[in-house]
Order: sequence, then C-alpha cells, then structure tokens
Amino acid sequence: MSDTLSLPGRRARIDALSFGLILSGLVVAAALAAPLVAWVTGHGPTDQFRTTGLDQMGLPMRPNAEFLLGSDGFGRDVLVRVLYGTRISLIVGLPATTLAMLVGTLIGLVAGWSRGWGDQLFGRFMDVMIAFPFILTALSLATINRGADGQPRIPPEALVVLVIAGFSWIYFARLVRGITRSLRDGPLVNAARVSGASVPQILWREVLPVILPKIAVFWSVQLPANIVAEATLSFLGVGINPPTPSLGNMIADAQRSGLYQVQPWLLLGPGLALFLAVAGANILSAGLRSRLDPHSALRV
Amino acid sequence: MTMLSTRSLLIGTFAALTLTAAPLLADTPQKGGTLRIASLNSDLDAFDPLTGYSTDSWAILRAVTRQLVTYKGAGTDIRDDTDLVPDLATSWDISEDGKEFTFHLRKGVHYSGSTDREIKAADFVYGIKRFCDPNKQVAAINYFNLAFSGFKDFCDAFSKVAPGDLKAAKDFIDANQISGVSAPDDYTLVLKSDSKNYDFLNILSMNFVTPLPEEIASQYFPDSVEFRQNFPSSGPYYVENYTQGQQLVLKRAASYDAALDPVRAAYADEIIVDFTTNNEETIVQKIATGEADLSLYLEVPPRATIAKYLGENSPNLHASNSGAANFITFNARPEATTPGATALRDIRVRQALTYAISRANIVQTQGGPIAAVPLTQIITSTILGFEPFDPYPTADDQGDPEKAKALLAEAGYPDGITLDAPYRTTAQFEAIALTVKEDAARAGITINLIPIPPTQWYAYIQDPGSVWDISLGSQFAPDWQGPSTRMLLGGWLNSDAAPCGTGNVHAICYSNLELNRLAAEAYGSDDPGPIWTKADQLVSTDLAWIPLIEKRKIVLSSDRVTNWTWSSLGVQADITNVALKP
Repeated sequence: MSDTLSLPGRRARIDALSFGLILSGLVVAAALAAPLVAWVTGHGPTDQFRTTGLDQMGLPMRPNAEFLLGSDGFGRDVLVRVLYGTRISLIVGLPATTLAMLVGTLIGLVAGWSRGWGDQLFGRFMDVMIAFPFILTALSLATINRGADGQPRIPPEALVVLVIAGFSWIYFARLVRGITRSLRDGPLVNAARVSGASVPQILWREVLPVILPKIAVFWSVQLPANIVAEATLSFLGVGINPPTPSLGNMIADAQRSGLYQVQPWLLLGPGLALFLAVAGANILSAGLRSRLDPHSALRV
Repeated sequence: MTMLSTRSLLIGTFAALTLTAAPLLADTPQKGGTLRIASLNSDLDAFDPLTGYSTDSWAILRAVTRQLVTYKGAGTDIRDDTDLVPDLATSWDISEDGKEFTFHLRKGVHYSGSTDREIKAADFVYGIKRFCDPNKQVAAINYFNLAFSGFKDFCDAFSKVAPGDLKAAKDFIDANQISGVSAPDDYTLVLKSDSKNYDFLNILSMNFVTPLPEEIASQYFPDSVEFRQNFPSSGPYYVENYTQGQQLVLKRAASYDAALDPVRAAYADEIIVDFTTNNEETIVQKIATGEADLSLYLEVPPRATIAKYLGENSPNLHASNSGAANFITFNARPEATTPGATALRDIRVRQALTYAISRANIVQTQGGPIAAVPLTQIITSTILGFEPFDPYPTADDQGDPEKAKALLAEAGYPDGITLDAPYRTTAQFEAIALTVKEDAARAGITINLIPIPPTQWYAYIQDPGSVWDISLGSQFAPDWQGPSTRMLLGGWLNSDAAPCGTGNVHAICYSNLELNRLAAEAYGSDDPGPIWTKADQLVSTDLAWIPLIEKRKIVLSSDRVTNWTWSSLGVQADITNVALKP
C-alpha cells in the first residue's frame, strides 16, 4: 500500500490521519443521517414518486428542488438511496472486516507459533484459501442460501458479511503468522519463557502487543477492499436484494437500465459515495500506519 | 404559341414525373448488401425447425425454412400480418367434414446448403415423423397430438426407442407411419385430423412443419452443432458458416428462384448474426452507428434509447402491438396450502389484488405508452375474440386501494395479507415486481419478493415443493397472430387440455367447466370469434389470472434498413423482406 500522504516530516503525517478521520467521519455521519434526510425530504428509500419523480415515459428526473440528486427509474430519491446504500456498505464492511481480523489473528497466532507439520499445514491451507475463486464461491453460496419457500435461509446481509470475512481473514492470518514466527525465538519471548510463563501468557503479553498496531492498520487497509467486495456482490445480484438500496445494486441498476444517460446521478451518486467511503478508509489507514507503525510506513 | 405551350406542358410533366419518381426510386427496395444482426444472447436458443419455439429463433428460421402456408409480412403493424398465403403448397383441398387436407406442392423448389435436391412431399412426412424423436422432441407437441390422426400412437411407440442412437431413430421412422400424414406422390401431401379445427392451417404455419431431407437430417442429432452447420435449407438463404457463440452467416442461394416464392423477397445478399455483443447498451449503440442493422433477443430497447429515438421522431424506431402480455398467476396447486395461497382461492381476495395494482405505473416503468398498454382481460388485442373488456375498472388504470382494502376486509382479512412472490431477475420483470410490491402495500397487501435467476425460473415454478403464492414472472406471447386464442383459453386455462400437474404452464391449475365447454364449442365452430369473446369475459371476470399489460414490440433498425416489414411469427423484422439502402 503506497502511502502518498505520509511525506517525510511530522506535519504531513498528522494531516493524513486527520484528513482520513474527517473524511471517514463524514461518510459515517452521512450514513447515520440517512433516516433524518428521509424524514426531512419525506422520501423513504423505497418510496416511488410516480408523478414527481418520473415522466410519462418512465424517465427519471435530474437534480431539482424536490430530488437533490434526482430520481431513479422508479421515481425514488437517489440522494436518500445513496445514504441508505452507504449505510449498508458500512453495516456489511465494518463487521466483515472485524470478523476477518479476529479469525485471522487467532489462526495466524496458532500457525505462527506451531512448528514443523503444524506450520506447514496452516501455510498450505492459507495458500489454498487464497487460490479459491471469491466470486464463484459467493454465487454458489447465494444459490444454496435459498430455502424451499424461496426466502433466504440466513439474511442476505449476514451471508455477505460471512462470505467477505471468509475470504479476507487469510490476509490477517498471514500477517500475524509472519510476525509471530519472527518473535517466537526472539529475546522477548525467550525471556518470558525462562521466567516460566505459559504459551497463552506469552502470546497475550509478549506477542499480541507487538501485533496489535499492525493489525489495526491492516484493518483499515482491508476495510475499503471489503466495501468494494460488498458492492461487487450486490452488483452481481448475490448481495443485497432489491428494493433495499446498496451502492453495488444501485450501480448495477443504472448500468442495466441505461438510464444514467438521461440522469447521470444514477451512476455518479453511488459511485461518488463508494469513492468517498473507500478513499476515507484508505487515507485513514495511511495516517494510522504512520502513527502506529512508523517503521513499516517509512519502508514503503 | 402553341409550340411554347406544348413545350412548357412537356417540361411541366417531366418535372412532375421526376418529382414523383425520385422518392419512388429511393423507396423501391434494392437487392444486395449484408444485413447485420447483433444478438444479445451468446447463441441461438434453437436453430432447428423441430426445437425453435422462441420468436427470435423463428425470426432467423424464416430465412432458411419454408412451410406449406405462411404469412406475407406487413409494413404497418403485426396485427396486419394474419392472412395465410400459399408457400410451398400452391393450393389445397379440404374434405367435406373439414378433417382432411390435401396439399398440392410447388414443383421445382430446391434445397440449398448441405444438399441441392428438389423438395418433395415425403420430406414433410419425414419432418413430422421427426417431431417425436426421442433424442429431442418438437417444442409444441400438444398441437400435433390434436392435429394429426395417429400421431400420438406413433410417438408413444417412438418413445420406446433408446435415445443416443441415430440409426435406431432412422430405422423407426422408416418402418413406421403416422396414419394421418402421407405423401401419395412427390407433390401431394395429405394431412388428416380426428376432429375439425378451424385453426388447422395456422398450426401448420408455425416453423415446425418444415420439409427436411431425411438423408441429411437423419445424420445428426436434432439441433446439434453439426445439424446447425449442415442445415438443409428450404428457404432463400443457406448456412455459409456457423460458429457457436461467434456468428451465423447466411447467404442467398444461387439456385433461389423468386418466382417460386411468393412471400420472401430475399433482398439482402447475406445475413450475418453476431453473437459477441452481450450487452443491451452496446447493441443499441451499434445500431445507432450503423455497425449493426437489427438486434436479436433484445426484448425491449433501454428506456433512454426509446426516448431519444422518439424525441428525434426517428423513422428507425418501429413499434407495434405484439399480443404478448404480462400477468400475475396464482399458485392454485392442491399442494399449495400457505395462508396466502388459501386466501387467493377467494375471488374477493383476487379482486382486491387487481384493484390494488396500478397498471398505469407498470406501463410507466416499461417506458410509457409506446412500450406497453394496460391490460384488463385475459386475451390480447391481436388475437381472435378480442373485445375490449374491463370487469374491474379504475380511474386512469391507477388502481383503487380503498376498494381493495374493503374487499379484503369483506373476505375476512381486515389487517391485510402477505404474499410470497417470485419474479425473474431481468430488468423488465424486476420493474414489474418492484412496482407491484409498492402499489400493493397501499392496500395492505405485503409482498415478499423472491428473486429467481431467469435460467432457474421454470424449474422453480414447476417444482411442487416450491412455496409461493403469486408469480410476478408470468408472461405470454401468441404462437401466431390472429386465431391463436386456443393457446390461452383452450390450452393454458382449459383443465381438459392442461390438467393440473407437471408441465401445467406457470402452474396455473385453473379449472372452470364453463370455459372448457365454450372452448370445445369454439374448436369445431366456423365462427369461433364470439365464443372466444364470451369465454374471455368469463375468465377475465373470474380472474383466472390478473392481467397487467400488453407489451408493444419496439424494434430499432439502422439507417441502412428500408422496406420495413414486420414478421408476425418472429414478432420483429422480417429479415427476408427488409432491404438495405444501396
């Protein structure tokens, strides 16, 4: 991850962090404000305004006083839907990344600590997991997730969280495994071992504190990737089902209907929101890295 | 003086002549050029008269097959293309009782492509025998069970031949006869039915009844890639090249004699179907820039594109009522015992649903009046028996949520009902599903949408284990325009013809003995129109299903296309009659 904003000099580093915080804060605030905006405009995220939001030929409106970002092909408010879509992005992205971090750290610790065949086994298993096709697995899981009554067996949001976490824990695990391996024979661990500490104690007291700042940075690196993954799944129709808005299915809708030609905000709205959410998280991760993990930040 | 006046008169006449002749010359279709068709699907769904049963496959088969009787094509509207004209038959005699047809075939018409021999009556007999090939059955077998005496017995025996063995299938065909299908000589074909059917000739006009040379067709599995590549063409064009997923190149046969074909003018020298553009946007772009002339499998162009063409008043946008419809069906199978399915057995609940829906909103999301019209009855505007009828009218087709609520309360559901509703995940069906969901909510009807990928649709709907109450993915397109009322009122909804069970279309399982009686009366009638009108009003009032919209077909053509002609079977351009500007 190149860290364009952490230029040499302390001032620039602080700026990256605060800029990332402000941007991410804005995105979160926008997502939180979705119901408020819906209340003020009187437009729910799935409400269809047939007379004011669509013309007779079913063409959407461009931005106007009633619809600040215009309407979509069903006469729904694009602004309200973008805000709700951002909410879904965060509702899926945050827990998926956190879950991946927890699972990845645990497995990485065990893998990094064990020697011989145990380490080999974990190593190979991670290689296999990385080689697994993400989209294909997601598509098949989404098909299996439909019960006999046609309704999903588990909520689609939860499935998306699990699928994304299932594919992103590996990156955490590899990171943690590498650090743990380098630490397990180092002076800190040896000293603890000599003083009679148990393995869990060593991992908890000596290894984890070294790892934590690195995985915190990596969490913010992985978050934007996972937000995009949610959008990808919804774009392909295996994520969030319509009429619930998500940035991915809004982009898919705009593209499929071709209506973005008359109402560019159908594409610009969700596209910009996705960009801001990802950019905010990226800049935040860059800033965090310079603050918490300055050595590797300088190395890049 | 006299000279002068004569001269000026001459000049005037000449000027007038050139004035009228100029547009005439430009409008007279010219032979030549390559007609390029961009297909949204990555291949033809079927390319064998046996299996072709989609309008798009029929549109292409038009160029490489001929029938006994067919339609001429119409420049104005699809519904103007319902007159049957002789094709490979020059004339026919009908027996007194109306059950036996003797066709006299045109002499001197030859195949092209994999063979160039003359077309004989026995080729029709072979083509019909091939209908129940155990390797691949004809797509619409029910028509032929009814149309030809002895057909069903022949098929029952044929079904005992193991699939996968071409020789066994050929041996069976050679050794067995269908009693109602015979060729007494090379140019006479006799077809017999057990009953009189007013639409017998219409059934024969579908692409299924096409002559095939046994010596070629029996070498390949029906509709296999090899068959497609070696297609024995009876039409004006032959298959020059077919590469699966890439392109189909059709060339006008050198031996093609327009004098022997009263219907297909075959203006283009060559027709190329390209299968590599699998995106609606790109297809309409290609047509706009002239890189393609027509589309295939593009059900309706994107709304924004339609608006653009309309705004420019473009002559390259062609719209016609198509007779095709979208509607909501109910899960009326006896196995369906969910609260929603049970509630819908009460006519008042069905009435509530029809009042809850705003057909105007559905029309709007389909692209407005150019793309669809509200439909309030079972049969559609292009088919026999249609008389405008609306048993449950609402102002401007906006629906009446209050009336819907009152009906629900009367039926014992004052707090509303919840219905599980599968739909196909295409842009068109999703638009209908989301609109119906939102509008039904106004009347206290909660709709749980169940998205089903298009490829899994029929499996899902046909599976008795699937739990659903209403289907938002149901649609219909007439097999032929005009007297095809049999298909709906005599077929899908008729419990004598389509008993509840596997294969029942859309799992409708509707039964109305009065309808069955009317249908039986219509089949043998010489004037079935009024009987079908009565039957339509009966089932439309009983809400056998809830009609939503009749779709209009919208086709875009490039600037190069002239002599626009609709093909009623293909429900799009008649590729054998449109021409290209020189």
